[in-house]
Parts: sequence; C-alpha cells; structure tokens
Amino acid sequence: MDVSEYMPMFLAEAREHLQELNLAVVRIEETPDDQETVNEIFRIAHSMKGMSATMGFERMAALTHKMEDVFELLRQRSGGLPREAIDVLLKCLDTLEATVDAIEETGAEDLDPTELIEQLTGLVRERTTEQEVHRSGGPAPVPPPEVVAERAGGRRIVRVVVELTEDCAMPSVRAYMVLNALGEQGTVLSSAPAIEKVDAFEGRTIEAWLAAEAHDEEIVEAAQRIADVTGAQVAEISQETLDAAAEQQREHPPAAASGPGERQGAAAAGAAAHNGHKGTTSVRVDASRLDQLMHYMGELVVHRTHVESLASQAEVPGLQQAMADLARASQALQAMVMQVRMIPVEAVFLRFPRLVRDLSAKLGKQVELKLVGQDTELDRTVVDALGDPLVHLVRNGLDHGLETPEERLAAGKPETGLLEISAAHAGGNVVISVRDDGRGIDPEKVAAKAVEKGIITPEQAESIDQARAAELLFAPGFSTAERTSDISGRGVGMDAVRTVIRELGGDVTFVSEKGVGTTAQIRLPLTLAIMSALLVEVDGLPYAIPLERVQRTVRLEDHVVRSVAGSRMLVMREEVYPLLDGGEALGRGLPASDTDHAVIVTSGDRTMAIAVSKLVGQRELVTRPLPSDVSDSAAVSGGAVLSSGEIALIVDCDALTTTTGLIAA
Amino acid sequence: MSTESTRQLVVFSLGEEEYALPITRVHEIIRWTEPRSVASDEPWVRGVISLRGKIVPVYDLAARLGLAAERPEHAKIVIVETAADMAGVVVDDVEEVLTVEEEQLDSVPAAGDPAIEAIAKIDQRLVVLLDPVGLFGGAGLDAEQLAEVAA
Repeated sequence: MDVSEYMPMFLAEAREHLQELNLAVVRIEETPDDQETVNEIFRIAHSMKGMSATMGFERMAALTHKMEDVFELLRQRSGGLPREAIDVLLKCLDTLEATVDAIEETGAEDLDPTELIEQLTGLVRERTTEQEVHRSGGPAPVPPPEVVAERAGGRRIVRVVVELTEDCAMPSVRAYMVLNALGEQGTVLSSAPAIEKVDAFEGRTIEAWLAAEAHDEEIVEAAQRIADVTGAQVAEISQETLDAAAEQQREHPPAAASGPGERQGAAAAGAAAHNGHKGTTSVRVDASRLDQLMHYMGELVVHRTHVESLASQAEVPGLQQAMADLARASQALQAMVMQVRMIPVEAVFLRFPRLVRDLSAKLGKQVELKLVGQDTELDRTVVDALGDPLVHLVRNGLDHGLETPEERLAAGKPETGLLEISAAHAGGNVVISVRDDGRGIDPEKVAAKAVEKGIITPEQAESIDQARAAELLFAPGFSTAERTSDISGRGVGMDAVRTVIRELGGDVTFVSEKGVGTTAQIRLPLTLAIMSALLVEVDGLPYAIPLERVQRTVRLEDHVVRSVAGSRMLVMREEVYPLLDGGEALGRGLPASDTDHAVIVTSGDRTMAIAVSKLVGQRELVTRPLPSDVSDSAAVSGGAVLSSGEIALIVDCDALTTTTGLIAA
Repeated sequence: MSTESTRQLVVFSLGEEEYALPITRVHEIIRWTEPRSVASDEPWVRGVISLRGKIVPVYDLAARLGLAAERPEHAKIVIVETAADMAGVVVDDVEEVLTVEEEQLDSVPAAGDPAIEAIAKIDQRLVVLLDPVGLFGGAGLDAEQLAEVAA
C-alpha cells in the first residue's frame, strides 16, 4: 500500500499525540490515580502505535508497544509510577519526537529502540514482581455485577486468570481461544477482555468469571491446551464474597462500580476512544491555505472600500443599497475568516508542564506550574510565533526568578515556588502573563549590571527605580545571569523576546516587586490582519492610528502648547500631555511643516499627543507587514494599502513610549 | 555559482553605465510609481510600494552604488524575487535580456563590493552583474535564499 499521501497527516497527528502523551505523563506523575488521564494515555498510545504500524514504521510501533506495557502498570496498581519510570517514558517520547522529525526530513525512521525497549522491559519486570506481592496481600477481587447476579443459580462460581507468554504475537486471538475454551467448561459470566471487545486486546493476562460445570483441574487443562498460555489459576469465589459484593452493589449502582469487569486493558481504551470522538466533525486544513484565504479576504476588503468610495460619487438608483448589502456580506465573511484562524492558546501552553518539570529538576527547584485561561483564542500566526518568546520567559522565571527551596525557606516562603502562565482577554487585546513568586527584580543589582555593560551611566544608576530597572532588562546586550547557564543564557536576551512580540504588534513588560515576585506581561492584539484605524496625514503622507488607542482628537489652535525642558507639552484643561511631532516621530525625523491637529493616544501606561497635519477619518484597514529594514527608526509597525493605492503606515503607539522614555531617562 | 555554461541576464541602464541581474531573480518590471517614503537608517531605501496588495520595499540602486541620484521620467522598478519576499530596485531603463557564456564573465574580487558579482565583457560593452544578496546586505532575503545563492 502506498501510504505517502497520508504522510502529512501522520506527521501532524503523531506530533499532536506525542505532545498529549507528554502532558498526560507529567500529569500522571503529579496525580497518579487520575483514571481519566490513564485512559487517555492508553487511548493515545494505542492510536500512536496503530498509526506507526500502518505507515510501516515498525520500530516506532515496537517502542510504543513496549511503552504501553509500562502504562499497563498504571492500571494494575494505584500509587503511580516511580520517577525513573517516568523519566524513561519521557525519554521514549523525546526519541519518538526526534524520529517524527527525521521521518519528515528523510522519510525513513532513524531509530534504534533496542536500548529503550530494554529499559522499559526492565521496568515492567521489576514492577510485576512487586505487583504479585501486592495482589496476594491485597483484598480479594470484587466480582462484577453479572457474576453476582448468578450467585443464586446454584453453580460454582470461579475466577480464572490465564497468563500469556511475553512474546505472544496475537494476544487477541489467544484471548478469544481461551475464552472459548473456558466457555466449554461452564458459562463465562464476565471477562476482561470482554468477549465482544477481544479484537483490540493487547494484554497478557486474561481474567474470566465462570459459572463452572467442570472441576478446577479440567478448567486449567483446557486453558493450557491453547498455545502461548503459560499458566492458569482457578479460584472458587465463596458465597460470602458474593453476598458482600451484592450488598455493596446495592449501595453503589453497578454503573459506578469499578470492578475487574471494567478493567479491560487496551480493549477498554479502544472503546473509550470511540466514545470520545463522537459528534465533532472537523476538517484538517493546511495552515498555508488559511493564510491564503486571509490574503484574498484582505484584497476583497481593499477592493470593496475602493468601490465604496467610487459609488459615493455615482448616482445610480439602488447602488447605495447594493453597496450596503455587499458591505454586510463582506463583513460577515471577514468575521468568519478571522474566526477560522483563531485557535486556543493551549497549543503553546501544552509544552510547559514538561519543560517546567525537566528544568526545575535540573535547577534543583520545586515548582508548581499553573496554567490559566488555556482556551483563550488567538490568531494562529500569533500563537505560532508566541512559542519561543514564552519559553524564554518561562525559562527566565525558573532560572532567575524562583529561588532554591533553601532560599525560599530562609525568606519565609513555602518551599515550592509558583509559576503561573495565564491568558485572558482585555479589550481588543489578549494578555498573556508569566508570573512567579520568586525573588523579584532587584533594581540595584540590575543598575550595577547595566553600568558595567555601559548601558547607563553611574549617575543614572543612582536614581533607578523598579519600573526603570524592569525596562533595562529589555535593553540589548543585557543579561542578569552572573554566569551563563544552559537554562536561559542562550545568547538571546529579553531584547529578542521584545522584538518578536513587537513584530506581532504587541508589547512585553515586566512588573516586579523585590522579594515578592515578577510578572512578565505580553499584550497582543486579538487579530492582526484587519483593524479599525484613524487615518491622519503628516505633510501629505498618510498614517493610520489604531482606533482602540485613540482617546480623542483636538485642534491645536484651541489649546496651549508649552515647552518643558526642551519637550513640547500639550496643556489641556485637566491634563498635560507630551506632544510629539508627527514628522519627527513617524517619518524621516524632520518636523512636519504644518500641524493643525493633535491625536491623543494611549501609549503603554501613558497618554501622549501626536501633532498631525490633517485628520482624514476612520477606515477599516488590512494591515500588511512592512519589509524588515525600512522603518527601523520610526514608531511604525506595519502598512496598509488605501483605496487610493497609497500606503498608510500604521503607528506603533507603544514604540512612542520608548522613545520618550529614553529621553526622560 | 551556477554550473551551466550560459546565463541569462536582464540588462538595464543607470546613468551612463549598464548593469544586470540574473533573470531567475527578476520577477517583473513595473513603471515608476513614487514610493511611499519611510524612515530608514539606510539612505538607499526609497520607500515602499504596493504590489497587488503586498507591501514591497524599493531600493535606490544608484544611491547604493554611489552614482548620481537623478532619475529620468521613464524610470522603471525591477521587482527582484526572493524566496520569502520581493524587493523593488529603481533603474533608469530596462534594455534587453542577454545570454552570456560563463567565460564572458570575469569575477571581480578586487572590487571588494559584495554587490558586484562579476563583469561581463560583450564586444565593447561592460555589463556589471549584480548580486542581489550582496546588493542590499541580504535585506529582504532570508537565510535559505542566502544558502541557495552561495551554493
């Protein structure tokens, strides 16, 4: 069978499965008795194995199969897996991830799973010995309801456990044969696997409850005649046990009882997978097609606005109504396209449980990770680009923010530090925060470092405060690490994080209190591509100011402009705002020749006024990225093509803050 | 460097001189439209234009090569294709597409300008073959493109 056409789907699904497994394994380490997660692990591992085998990646399938055996231990016993087991499992997942990458590049699985399989086998063996001790010492197995219902039938009720050899090739077939053979010795009341689910059986142990007509020895013999069976045990269930079980099941209705009847190994997992997938019909679409769709949508909006402006000059009966209808349909389509592009931020968050687990172990720190607002939706491009900056902030928080358990105890804090990654909507923005309750930013330390690096002068260091110190962390070339650790000191600093976020049209800031903690806050626009803006002109050149940032506009002749320490200030009745010249701040740095109006905008935490020549009006603009090297010295973050064909540059209101911030510093 | 023995070049004029770009790099040639000026640190960034809704930077080749900046009215913009993006280059006029033998191209290591890849001697003419990557310091070209050019 030629499977190459399924390759992209295989790669995408395999990656998805591996990420889910990573997450589930870390979760099961924290809460070992979370039955739902255990079932999820089985479901994913099982389909992972099936997928790999279908695509002909035998070694991947073999490794996943062996991992399932280890997962099986989770089902057999509460209390979870020891740390070494989790470590080996995670190592397997890493190997599988690398294999998927290799398959994408070369088409072949570049994997030697022997060593990992050995380690896994070792784990299973150790645990199985333990397991038996546990079983014999534990409470007697509880008969499932259908067995209990049979107790009045007068026949002997026995529990039969049949073991298959470890290298049994077709456990489902053997299980079928075993159950059939047992059926000849009596009536099989209940079994694990259940007879109708035997197809998906992958385990090595078959358990059956039998209303026996034969003697124990005959039952054992019947079972042992089947190939691959290593042993069979038969135990009669006493009337008292059955009565007790009946009593218990009256109190707890059978549906809630978690007897052996429900533990059906991979069979149950397979069934769960079927149930879990009902109802949702979704289609996998190549991301580039979505981008294409967005692009065409953008073009449509540009053309529509053009036609609208032409239509306003024409006198054709019914044209206005037709234009209004077109506008409505196009806006609805636009909204739908935007919505299709939205995905939950969870896609990025999912990598953090694993990352935090590994890093905190490496750093010898105890960390509790909290993820909040994972279902917050963001434009796909934003979510994709968000990964690296967030990883950097999380590493930074773990490495520099949080203290070691000893330090924390000495500071009177709980040993375990808190790291919270959250996402939430705030107006037209999405705010993503990485918060730790660590040592916080020490302004003096930061200042000393900045002086040493030549970023600020010693005089400036004298008057440093918390906010300015936090800002210094984003200065190019700054890094607070005394030594370059392999955790966060990777040559890329916070300035790189800020650059990426700004390219997305957002901003990132630190808020910190010494000794209490640090919060890195990323603010991003909800949708990138289409926005409402106030169109203005500076010396005949159009600029667009995002409408959500515009507080109001004023005529400059109605207000007083004063010079304060070389900067112009716009004096309003209730407030005084710094007044920037549109030509200087947005253009080639020359003052605009005539400025009649001022637009008062929100810029970070501050309010500023920009002097412009002309107010044109509100427009809906399709934003396009600017080429990377053309606008580095002005506070603009993108462009938009107007209906006239002219290009308006989009004002980056937050970049206005930085310029004046530096002047003030 | 290409292993083929002939190369096709788009030849254009700039003042008194003739320059060329490999035809594989030229996406299209458009009439002059005044670019929207932007604030750039580089003097040879003329601004941006809209090419079917896409915003494309326009570079002033003459300024980059240190020639007179006066452009005639019929100036053209050559849209150079890159793997990830496009960029416009302002030239006086586009003359012809020329097929040259590889041996007609003299590499000019002494020139020390990364913008110039080679000089083609065709009869009495000297045509300067430009390297689009070296020309604008890799501006607008991504790493993949650089690797491809270097290969």
